[in-house]
This record gives sequence, C-alpha cells and structure tokens, in this order.
Amino acid sequence: MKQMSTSLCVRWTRAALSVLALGLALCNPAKAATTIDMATGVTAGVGIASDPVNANIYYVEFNGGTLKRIHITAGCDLTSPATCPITTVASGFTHPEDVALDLDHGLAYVTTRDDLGTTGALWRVNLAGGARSLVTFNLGAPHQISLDIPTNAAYVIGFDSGKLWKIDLTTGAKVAVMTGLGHPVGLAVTADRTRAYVTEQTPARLAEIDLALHVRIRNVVTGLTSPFYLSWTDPAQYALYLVQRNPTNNVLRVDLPSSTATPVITGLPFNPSGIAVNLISGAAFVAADAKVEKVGLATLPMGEPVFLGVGNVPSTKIVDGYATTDPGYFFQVKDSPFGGTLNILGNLSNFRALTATHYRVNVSYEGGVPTPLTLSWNTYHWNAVTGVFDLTPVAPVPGPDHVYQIPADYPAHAERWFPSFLMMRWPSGSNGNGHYTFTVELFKSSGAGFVAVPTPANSLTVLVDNSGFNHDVVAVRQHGGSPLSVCAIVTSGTSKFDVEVTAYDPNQHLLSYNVTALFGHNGSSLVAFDSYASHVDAEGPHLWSGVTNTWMPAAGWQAQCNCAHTFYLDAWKRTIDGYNYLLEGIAHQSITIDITSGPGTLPACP
Amino acid sequence: MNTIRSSIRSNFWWRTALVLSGFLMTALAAVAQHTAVSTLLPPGYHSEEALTWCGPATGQMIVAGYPTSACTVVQADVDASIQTHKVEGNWDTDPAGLRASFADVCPLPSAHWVVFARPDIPSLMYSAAYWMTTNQYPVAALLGTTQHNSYAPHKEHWVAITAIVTDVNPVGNPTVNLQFVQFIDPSPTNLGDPPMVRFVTGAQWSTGMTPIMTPVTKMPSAYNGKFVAIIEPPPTIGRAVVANPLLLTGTVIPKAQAQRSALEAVQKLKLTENAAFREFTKAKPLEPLLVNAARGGYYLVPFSVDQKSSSLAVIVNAYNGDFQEAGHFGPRTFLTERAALEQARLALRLRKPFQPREAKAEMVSSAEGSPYAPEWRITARNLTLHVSQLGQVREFRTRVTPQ
Repeated sequence: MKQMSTSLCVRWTRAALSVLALGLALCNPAKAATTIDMATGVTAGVGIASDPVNANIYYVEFNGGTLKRIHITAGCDLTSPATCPITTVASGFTHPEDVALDLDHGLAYVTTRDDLGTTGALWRVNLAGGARSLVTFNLGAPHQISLDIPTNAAYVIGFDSGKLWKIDLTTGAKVAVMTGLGHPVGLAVTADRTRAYVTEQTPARLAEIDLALHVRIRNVVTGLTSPFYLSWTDPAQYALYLVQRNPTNNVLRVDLPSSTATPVITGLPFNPSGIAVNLISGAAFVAADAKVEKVGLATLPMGEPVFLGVGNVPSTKIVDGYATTDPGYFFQVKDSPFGGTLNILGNLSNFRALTATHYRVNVSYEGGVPTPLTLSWNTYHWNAVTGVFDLTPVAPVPGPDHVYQIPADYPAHAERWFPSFLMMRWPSGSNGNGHYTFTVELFKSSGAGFVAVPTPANSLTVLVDNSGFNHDVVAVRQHGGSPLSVCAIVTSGTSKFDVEVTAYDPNQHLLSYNVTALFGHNGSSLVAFDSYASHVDAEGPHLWSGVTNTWMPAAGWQAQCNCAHTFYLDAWKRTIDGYNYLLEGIAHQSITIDITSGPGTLPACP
Repeated sequence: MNTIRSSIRSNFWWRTALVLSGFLMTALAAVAQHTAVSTLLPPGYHSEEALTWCGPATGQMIVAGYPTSACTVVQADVDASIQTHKVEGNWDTDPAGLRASFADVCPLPSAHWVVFARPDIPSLMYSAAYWMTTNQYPVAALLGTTQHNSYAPHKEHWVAITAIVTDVNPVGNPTVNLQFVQFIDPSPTNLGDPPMVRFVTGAQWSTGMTPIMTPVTKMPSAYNGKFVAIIEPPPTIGRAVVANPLLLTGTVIPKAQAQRSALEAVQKLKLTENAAFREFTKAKPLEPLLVNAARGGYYLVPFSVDQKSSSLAVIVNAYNGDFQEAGHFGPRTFLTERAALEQARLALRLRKPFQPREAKAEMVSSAEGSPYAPEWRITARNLTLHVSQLGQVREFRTRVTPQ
C-alpha cells in the first residue's frame, strides 16, 4: 500500500453496498491517502470504466489491444498489489483508447484509434462472450466515450479530426456536434445533454461546449499539462476529475462554478490516462501506462458539500467535533464544542440536483449504530399571496421511513425559507456529552415508498458538551495577607488586594474569565482576565480547564478610592449552539475599602 | 467540411480511368463487335460508415470521381448536407438530398446534377450511358428501397455506377443493348468491410426473378414506382434494352461446368485488365456454391489466391452457365454445409450431430439481398433455420392457414 499526499484528508469507513451514504469524518488535513495496485504489467492502459453493481473494473490496453476486466472479490483489494482476478474480455483491437459500459444491455463500447484503412472506430462488445461488432468508423482518432443510453447515443471525441461526434448506437450514423477543437482527448457530458466538457491538448485546456448551439462557451481551465480523460466527481456534476499525464502525473478536481483546479491525486504512476469513480465502494480507479491503481475517494475533497454547517459555523470548520472559524469572520470561535439545540443546515439544493425528493438524517453516538432522527420544528416560509413569512411546521413523512420531504422551492427559491437550508433542529445531548456523527441519506418517491438515490459520501461529527463548570470568587485579601471576611471593612494597611478565583471546567472547555472590581457610581476596574486564546491546546488538543482557587493578579490589584467594592467574576465555556456561546458563570464578593491613613491612604470615590 | 479539390489522388484516378477505359474497351471488343463503354471512372472507393449511410458513401464516391476538380470529402459532411437538403423525410437519403449534396460539398460551375426518375429501366440506363459517355461523370443509382443490410428500417440502397457497357455508342444511337454495368456498392455484408465492386450483365441488372435494380416502393414518395438515378447533366430520351434475359429455371448444370464457365468469363471479358478485378490474374476458382437451385438459381464461384479466403467471385447462371456478374469484396471464407449444420444443431440444442438425411441443407439468397452472402437453409424436425455466412441462425416458421 502506497502513501499519497492530498490537499485534504478525511477518514472513511467502508459501508455495505446497500448503504449509499458513506461515513466521512474530517480529520487533520496533513494526513495522507492510500492507493492499491489493482493491475501491474499493463501494456499502456488508457480508458477505464467501473461497474459498481457487479464489482468489476474494465480497462483497455493501447499496446495490448485488449479489453480486460478486474473482478473485485471480497478482500482482494485490501493490500497492494491486489489479488483480484483479471480476465481478457475481448482482444485484437487496434490501439484501443477508451471503454464505456452499457450495463443494462450487457455491452461495452470501445474506441480504437487507427484500424487499418480507417481513422479509428467505435466498437460494441458483448460483455458476456466478448463478441464485438463495428458501430462506425473514420472518427479521426477517437478517444474518450460518453454514453447516453436513454437516447441510444454515444458522444466520442476525435483527436485528429478535432470533432465531437454524436453517434447513433444502432445505425452508426454520426453528427459532428462540435468542430475545430484542438486535439481533443477527454470528454464528459452533462446528464441533461446541454453541456460537454472537453480536454484539448493544443492548447492544453478544458473547454465547455454548448451542445445545442455547437459553440464553445468558455475555457474553464487553461495551462494544463498533457490533459487526458475526465470523470464526474459525483452525480451532481458540479466538478470533474481531470487526469494529467507526464510529467505531472496527477488528477485535478475542477470545480465548474468557480473554474478552479485543485490537484487531488498526486504521485501517480507514469502517464495516467483514465479515471473511473465508484461512489459505492468509495474509490476511484486510474489507468496508467503500466498499472491500474485504486485510490480511496475518502482522501479526496468532495465536490459539493452535503452538510453546509451548524448555525453560523461552516461544516468544514468543524474538525474533530470542535468548531474553529477564522479571524475576520463575524462569528469567530476556536475549538468550541456544541450544545443546546443545533440548527443543522444541509445542501437541499444539491439534493434536488441529485434527483432526491426526500432525505433522512441519521445520528450515531460515539461510533455506535446510526439511528434516524424524527424531530419536528417550526420555521418560516414565504407566503407569496400575503407577502409575509408564515410560521410553518416541519416534520418527517409519517411512516416507517423517517424521511423528510425536500421543499419544492429548492434549488430555485431557497430564499423562501427562513432560515434557508435548515435540514434538522437537533436538541443536543440525548445521550449526554460526547461525539455525535450525523449522516444523510437521499431518497426519491417510488410508488408508495422511497428508493435510495446515490448520495455523495458524507458525515458531520460534533462534540457535545452541555455541562456546567465551577466558578466562584472564593476570597479577597489585602495583597499577600490573609483572606478577609465577606463584607469586611478595610481601614488600614496596603490598598492592593488579591482575589481568589475558581473558573474551572472539568471538561477542559473553558473559554475565558474576568474579574472586575465594581465601586462607587458606575466605577469599575479590571482585576484579572484570561482566555483560551492564551492557552490553546494547553492540556492536550482543544483542552484548557481554567483556574481553581487561584489568587490573582500576581502583583495585586491597586484600589483607586475608598468605597464599597464588589469583585465580580464572569466566566464562559466554549460551548456554542452555532450562533452564541451558551454557558456562562458569574459570582461576586464584596468588601468596603476605607483607608484614610498610612501608606495605603486613598481618596474618597467620586 | 474537409474538402480537397483537384487533389493528386483525384488526378491519379482520372488518369487511371482513361487507362482502364482502354483496357475494357479492348476486352469488350472481343465480346461484341460494336461494344461501347459509356465511362469507366474508378472514384475513391468508400464503404458506408453507418448502416444508413449508403447514400452519403455513394455521394462521397461520386464527388471523388469527377473527371476534373474532384473532391475528397468526409462522409459525415455528405450526410450532413443530405439531411439539410432532404425533401422527403421518410428516407435516410432521398434523391433530392443526395443530388443537392453533390453541389454542396463539391460544387462545379458547369455541373447541375439531375434526378432521373423513370418508369422503366431501359430509358433510365440509356440516359445514364449517354451522359457518362459524354461527360465522364459517374452516376448515383438507387438499386431499390428494400432492406439490404442488417438494419431493417433502412430501405434505400444507393450505389455508384462507374461503367456501363453497351453494344453501340449511345451518343447518336437512340436504342442500345445494355451489356454490362460496373458499380460500387458501399454496403458490404459486414459494416467496415471494403465496398463491393460488382461487374454484372445487363440481364442481371434489370431482369430475372431478382433484378439488381428495382423501382421505388416507398409510400409516400414522389418517386414511388420509378427507377431513380442521379446523372450529370440534363436528360436525353433513348432506350438501353437487354438482349438476352436471364434464364430463371431449368436443369441445374454440374459444378464443374459452372467452374469452367466462370473461368471462361474471366478470360473472355479480360477482367484481369480491370483494376478492380486484377487479382483474378493470380486467383484460382474454388468449389462453386449453388444458390436458389429451384428458381433464379446461380452458381457463386469464389476465386482465391491462397486457396483459403476469397475476395473475388464470379456468378454464373445455374441452368446454362452464362456469366451474370463478377464481384470484388473484403476477404472472406464461405460457410460450409457442415459448419452450417453445426450452427443449426447448436441453435436447436441437440446433443448429437444430424444423422444423414435427418436434415436438408441448401443455399438461398440472403435476406439482405447480396448474392455474395447467401444463407444456408436447413430443414430439420419440421423446422426451417437460416444460417448466415457469419453463423447467425434465424428460425422460419411455416405459416399455417386456417382451413
């Protein structure tokens, strides 16, 4: 098993095939990912396709002229090199470039670059017996395939012809839906057939094509290095994996809305070409020149978030269950656990894009069995008739499924809900303090019930701490002296005082404390102050308890005038509900200072 | 659109055409004293790139065969032009669309292609011969509108005629005898194979039980009942008739006689001097295959250089040995009777091979209609199976008429 660096590290649990939502827990970004050699001795691997239902991976060998299948048996891919059986499905191709699967009909489609007497062809292969038949030819060095089975069509890119072809899979009739591309190689088409994304090598960039108007809309990313094949990161189709060949030998994740490209898989073997994503097994498979590699998807940044956040805390700012937001943000916290009732915000718009109509939120306590939440709350929904927000109840759909309906307003009119994207209101701590992990499953209506919709890997873990803490002004004394009795009247001696304070959280989540002396008419003076900012990770990651029975300040506090004085303690824990700190402790103790003679003589307070 | 005008290659074709014309003229002069060759233009050979693209492939060959300013074009561009100009929507390639595509993908100032739709073959073929002789342009001909490949919904069958041989020069003679037609069929039996070059007698072309050229049977269509060809340029009235119609029934001649007839035809017609059939020089005939013995019968005589696979064949009449046509196609082997019976056994899931006389095997014309890819008809156990040259088995059930 090899280690591979990535920009973000997450920890995964592998779910059963029937469970589409995978556990994902954000962890330290510095951790590394793992890859496994699924096949070695490959003779110029290029295109690759995944069959998650039958646990198969198909890839073509450019030099070998073969279409091969890796069958993933139980445990065969847990160590590197893998021991999964590999069989040749079909052979005798002339420089195959890509493979795409039509599993409903038991077929694969293979492009070949330069069959004798032609400029390359598209073949149909029976996956059961390997028999093949020609669909069409003279495609101009065809490369990546994007199948559109509902319309019985394939989109194929022609490297030499510079064309994007749409091919009738029955007759082989083809139409150039885009021409003038610069040595195009990779191809991805949106499910609604409105857009195609094409990697070009001259110049090296990613183009966005309008399939209806046959025009280039924009160049999404430029300055690429030997860009090759593409794959959607997930069914939402907001981001693409883009393979770059030598010398970078990596995979970029290209976020289409922001046009940003981020290296997510680096250090791949020489000349990677194709990538196939299998969300069910939480893996991506990369075909390189001499190897087929498996890369854990858990190691990669997600395309679109499932959890948006908790209150004002973005989901990705919750690490190890603690919230930490950045300086400059209006709600800045550091290593804050959660408590109270949490507004958990979910990407309801993206759920709709994934074709879901309903969602279910599960929660598990300290790694235990996830159980669905069935809570109800009230929120506001815009009444277009009256022009006001109406209080609107939210509750799970009655029945055994414990699912909530995604309002039809999403994604077009998320603003009609206040607050928007509120997915769950969860009174924290049903099992006491500790780690609670939430996962989301998506569904769509099917008859009287629901069927699962493939859900991007997701989870959100929060640490709950609803406990109170110890806080008191234990005693007051003249500096270095003995404790004074409560309400004592001090008439002589030093006018410096010490205050004995306890601001102590056994759960080590203290935020801050301050002691203030109050006197006269609105007179006040800070006696002592401390906060977690000065004690980050003081007692271990995220931990600081505070103080107990501690005299402060060290040099004593200098009184300013004669009057009754109250020493007031105000302490806070770091626990938040996403909007505010929740747990405060106050205490005070009073004395009277009336030193009118000697070195500590003070004036009367105004 | 990838168009290259006046390419070296097209000039080469033109020079080659002149040479071949001379060869064929010489060859055919030996057959008939007053033979005239209307034209012999070997355009760039192309097979269809899709099961519905015999029209675009024909168009691609036609513009490559212009005597001057020929064009090398992409078949997809021809199809795109056809679809743009198509008038009758129930065709994959209608005559008007194909005609317009010529001017679109390879325009000529003086050319103005015309769709000839005639109620009979003689008048159509006369016009074709007349203008091919005059202007030296190949002709796009519609063989018919019935299924001709594995994709049943596709009906029309376009080919490029590259030569027409008549007994006298059609220019100046309003009636001529149609002796031979050479054409390139862009629809081979298997998609992706080379196009088939066929050299057929006038009788094979237009008469007999299964003439090669048949009228349009599409409904609705302005061409229904007509024979169609696209010719450059305007029409001229005349007739090219067939002197000796095909013999459709009779006593089947022995295989040896069929083989001899085929060899004699190759020599007599000097097919080795025709570029498309030059391979006959080194080829020897294999065992003849008898097709449609009862009616419309013919012997398919494969020729092979290595005595294994064939890319040439001669078809002679099964009852008198008369030459009907010669064809050049992608290398292939023909399914033997034994192999056909084995395929039938597998299809019927029988454990043991057929016993002698348990099954009857005979060759018949294929559903797709190519005489070079006949099927085996196996009759056994009250079932009739058809086994294609690729070994694919179809079952035919006898329709029972209620008493």
